[in-house]
Amino acid sequence: MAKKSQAASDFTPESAQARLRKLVDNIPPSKGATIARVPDLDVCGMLAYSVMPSTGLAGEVIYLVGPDEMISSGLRTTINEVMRRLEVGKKPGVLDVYRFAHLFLRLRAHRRGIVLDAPDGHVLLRPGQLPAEIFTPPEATFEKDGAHFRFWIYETDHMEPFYFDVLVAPDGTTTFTESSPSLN
Amino acid sequence: MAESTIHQNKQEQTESQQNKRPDRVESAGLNLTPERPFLASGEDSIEKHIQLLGDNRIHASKRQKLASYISHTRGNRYLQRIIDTTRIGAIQRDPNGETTTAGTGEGSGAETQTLEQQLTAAMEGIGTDEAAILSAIRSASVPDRQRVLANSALMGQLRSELSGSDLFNTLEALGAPLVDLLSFPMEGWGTDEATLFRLTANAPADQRRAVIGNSGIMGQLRGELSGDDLWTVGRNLANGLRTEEQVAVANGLFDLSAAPSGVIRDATGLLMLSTEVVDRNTARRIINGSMNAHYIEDLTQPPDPAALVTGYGYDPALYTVYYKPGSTTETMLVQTNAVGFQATTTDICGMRTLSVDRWKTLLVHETNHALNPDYSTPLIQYKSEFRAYWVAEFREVADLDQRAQQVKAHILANYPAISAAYNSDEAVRNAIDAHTRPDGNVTNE
Repeated sequence: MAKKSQAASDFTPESAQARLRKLVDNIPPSKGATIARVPDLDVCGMLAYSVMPSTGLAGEVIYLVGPDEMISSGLRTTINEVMRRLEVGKKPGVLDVYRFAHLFLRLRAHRRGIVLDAPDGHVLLRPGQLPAEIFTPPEATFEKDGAHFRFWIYETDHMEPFYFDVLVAPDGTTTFTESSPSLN
Repeated sequence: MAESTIHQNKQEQTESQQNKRPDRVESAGLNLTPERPFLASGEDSIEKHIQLLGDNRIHASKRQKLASYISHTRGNRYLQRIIDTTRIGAIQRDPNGETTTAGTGEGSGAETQTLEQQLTAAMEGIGTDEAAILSAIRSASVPDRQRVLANSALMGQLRSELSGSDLFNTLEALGAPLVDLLSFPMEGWGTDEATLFRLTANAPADQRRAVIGNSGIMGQLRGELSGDDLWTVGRNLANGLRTEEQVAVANGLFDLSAAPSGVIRDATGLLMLSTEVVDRNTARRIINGSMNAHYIEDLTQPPDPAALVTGYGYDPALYTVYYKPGSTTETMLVQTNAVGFQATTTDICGMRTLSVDRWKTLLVHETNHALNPDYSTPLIQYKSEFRAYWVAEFREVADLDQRAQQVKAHILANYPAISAAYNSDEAVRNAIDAHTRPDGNVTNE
């Protein structure tokens, strides 16, 4: 049995949060920010935390804290690293579309919302706001160039439906396009 | 000339005494009853009057004198009945109130004349018979009225002959457009709010659009009305129109200059026109300066914000920093695709690119937070968010129990500090589960 490193043996949610607090308080606009666990974003053995400064959701940063590392949604490369470690672009079926969307939206797109299974799939959608003829159900496909995720969300920041078409390449590089029938 | 006039007056006086002029004399001598013509006696019946006024053998001038006398002693309605019966024709009245008959008897009745002819006849001579004009218009068909409205010469004559309430009643009876009617209830010392309400509530959309595009009338409404009266007229004018037209109504009626121009001002105006009290209170707070709204793009930034953000370990494409409104030292971290936030207790910030609908909910939501500023515990923070989402983003969910469930799910999904407490503290969980209606200030008053 492999012996755990010192850092790993001391790694607890509390110790992780204390390390994060020290980091965050050295960032002037984030000093004293609210830090809270986000267990549904835990991934690759790292614990997820939300750091919410005075600007609230508009300034939220998600940190993934591991025994020896901290990466954040403040960098575009973080989602690439997570996808690389999970081998999402190398193997089919690693993540279903809902789980992928959740990680992608919070770690990369900086959006909040609900994946829509129907064009009227959210209580706040107004009639005609998402025309049925342009709606497609969420889907995940695996092709030569990697894993494709296509889904509509009801985005609860703009309060509008948005469509995302995301490709995760075999090396984890994640690229996407987004559109909204109301805003385009 | 002077002598002749005196002589004439003396002659009339003598004739009057001979005819035993009735004792009825109007007050202060301002409106003397015409002398009784020789044709009339104090006890004449309506049948006698009909007979006399319809008798072509009697000279027209004598019949005119009798009509004038009847008008003053028995009233215009009585005279109208006689005229209707005898088909004498239109009635003319001079500025002193004297009424004379016109027309030639048989064949000159109103029913054989066009509306234009009736109106022209009613305006012939020295005076104008307003009652005849109104009666003719009200008896006319809509196409007839529209034809008169399109007759600029006749309309000009009506405007020249009539004034005040007579002109207003005539124009309204003709179906004149709202823009031509609205100034009348605002003439003089007072304002007839009830008429303004009625006119604006009943006018079709195209006529209301013409009013909205008339800065003079809109300014007059703004100057004459205030408070709920102004709001009622604004609501009536904007009812059912497109958003941009409603915005024009708000800009025309309210002083929105405290709100930054563009979508914030538009949203503030629409909130002012809203039927919801919380919306109007929100707008008033923006207008009176107790809440300030800012475009994020207009906030000042410290030097080289990209370098600062990079130094924090973030990508400048994803995050940036701004100074807090009114500060040149305190900075705020903001996502580059942020929607909006409350920067201070009185400052709301949002992106210029947001829709006017989103700005409306943002202003209501953040103003509600400003008025309920306690965030000291996760439970209190939950109640604050619950209240703000309840009155803003989720207000359209009519089923209140469903609204409560939706708001709760939204908060627990997006506010980790609250959901962490919910998941770890039974007392907090029970309190949140039991909180199904908002408390505190829900009207933004």
